Amino acid sequence: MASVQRIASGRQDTEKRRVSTHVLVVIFAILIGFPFLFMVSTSLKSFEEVFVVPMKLFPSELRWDNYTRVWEIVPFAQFTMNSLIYTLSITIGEFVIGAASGFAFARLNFPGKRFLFFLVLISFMIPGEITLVPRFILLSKLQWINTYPGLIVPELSSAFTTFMLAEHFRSLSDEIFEAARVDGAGFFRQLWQIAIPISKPIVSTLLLLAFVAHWNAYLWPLVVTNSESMRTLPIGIQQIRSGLTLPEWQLVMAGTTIVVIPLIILFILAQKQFIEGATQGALKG
Amino acid sequence: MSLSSTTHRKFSLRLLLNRFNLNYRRRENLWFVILVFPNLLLLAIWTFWPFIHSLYLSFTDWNLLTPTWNIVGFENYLKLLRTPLFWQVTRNSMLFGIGTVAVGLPLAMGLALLLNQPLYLRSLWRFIFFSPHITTTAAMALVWKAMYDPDFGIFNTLFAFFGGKFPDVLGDTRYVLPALAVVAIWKSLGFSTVVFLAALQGVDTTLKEAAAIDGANNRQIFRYVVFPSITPITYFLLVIGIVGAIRTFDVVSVMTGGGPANASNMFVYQIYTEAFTNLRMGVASALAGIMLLIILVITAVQTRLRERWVNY
Repeated sequence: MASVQRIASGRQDTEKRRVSTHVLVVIFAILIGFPFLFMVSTSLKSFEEVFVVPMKLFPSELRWDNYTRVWEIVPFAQFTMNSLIYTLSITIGEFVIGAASGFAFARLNFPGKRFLFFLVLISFMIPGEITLVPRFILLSKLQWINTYPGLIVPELSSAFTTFMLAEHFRSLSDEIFEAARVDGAGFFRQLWQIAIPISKPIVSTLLLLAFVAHWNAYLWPLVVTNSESMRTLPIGIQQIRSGLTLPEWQLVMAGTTIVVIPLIILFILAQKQFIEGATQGALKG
Repeated sequence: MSLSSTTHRKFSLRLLLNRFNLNYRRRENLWFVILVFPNLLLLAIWTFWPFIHSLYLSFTDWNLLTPTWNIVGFENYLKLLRTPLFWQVTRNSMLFGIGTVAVGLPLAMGLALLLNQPLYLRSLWRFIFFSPHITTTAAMALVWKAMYDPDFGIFNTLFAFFGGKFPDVLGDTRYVLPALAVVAIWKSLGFSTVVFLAALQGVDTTLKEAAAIDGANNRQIFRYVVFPSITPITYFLLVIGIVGAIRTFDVVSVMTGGGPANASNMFVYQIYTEAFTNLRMGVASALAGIMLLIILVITAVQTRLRERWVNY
């Protein structure tokens, strides 16, 4: 009887704990998610409603025209174009270059290979802020300031992508490559028709991480570009405020929503890859 | 008859293989060069050369407007050490780094412990916690700037509700650094949480069960079993947290421009200002050199601590 009571009260305890855990999680989710709610809600308000105190959580009338107006205030189409060209070129280029060298480091023999791989790893330790000024000087000598090559080429080599792919290709079984070799496949075909296709999970993770990193890049494109027609989205949206006479925050928030939405959609579609990417990098380091 | 024919075939096959091997080795080397060359060339031009050039520039008095420069030795470094602004920038960066980690990591650990329990809709919560990490910092900094606005925004409403007046935090030298730290914590919390969660899920359950059988309560299990086995990850997060905070640029540039009165000015923003506003490339490079030195020292200290304290 006593033991039954104990079990019952224990069950009540765990029940209580489960409820309090959920309450805490929901509170944190509201706190962490709030800036997104604020952003979207403000982006759909009228100018007058933005300044209403106490703040309204939801707009009384959805002002979708904020989104069309923001395209007229700043050259948003141009920013989006630039962002897409910049992000996609680097994401693809970085992957091709990283996969090629990662495959060579993992599966081919070469005298001094370990030293060359060490060089790639060392480059990982050099923060981009250190190389900013000399890169800028080099770009001006090449007259690449404010051009797409200037934005893209210096960023094409990624130590992270190279390292992750080299590690992964090293872990693949030798037999598949032996078989391919016997069938007469050269190294290039071993890379493009075997190594990459059987590594789809890590390939998609790396592509997603690269896309997000460069879509979000701010300092590098800020330094390399100087005309409005070359700016990428993260820099372009900073100009919305300066293009306005009144502090029309609803338009600024519409701009930020447009920049952030593609990322949220990608994240919804590929949550697993993003989270694995984050933890894999950390647990390997 | 049949016997001799097989030995003959065996013999010629070996010859063929030997020849193939020689060719194979040469082809392998050639392909290695073709596949690795683009990467190493880019690294040499856009990382290693700029790195060396940056160290060189830090010993010159070059500014972007003059075509010539002199080598001035440690002049830039000494000058920096004598300017109060340098010390303010250093202080801001260090306080910001330590502050974000000191608040952010325990919070992330707590969230990871919460997420590690049986939960409804766990992937939804993880989605919400992680999304700040993947969204554009320069865009979300604008959102936070709006939320911090003293004339509208959420804090204004909350303070009004309790009968107070929300100060202009971004315009006040006392509040500006903590206000930016809140944004940095918000941005990085999800990443640390997810990494902690992965580490927690990697803890050996038999150890926990053994401790429970020996009569340890939950707190003791955490203190003596779980925590020791996740210290390597804690150190990792500690270092990338502090280094990441020291390298902060986007938030400062978008929200305050280093102000007011340099109260939120930090290393990278000051490097940017020296290089591209004051055009003093030598000074900017010296500042970058000092920042690199600080990052290296932090990383080295962490490696030492890790060797001494981490229980694998």
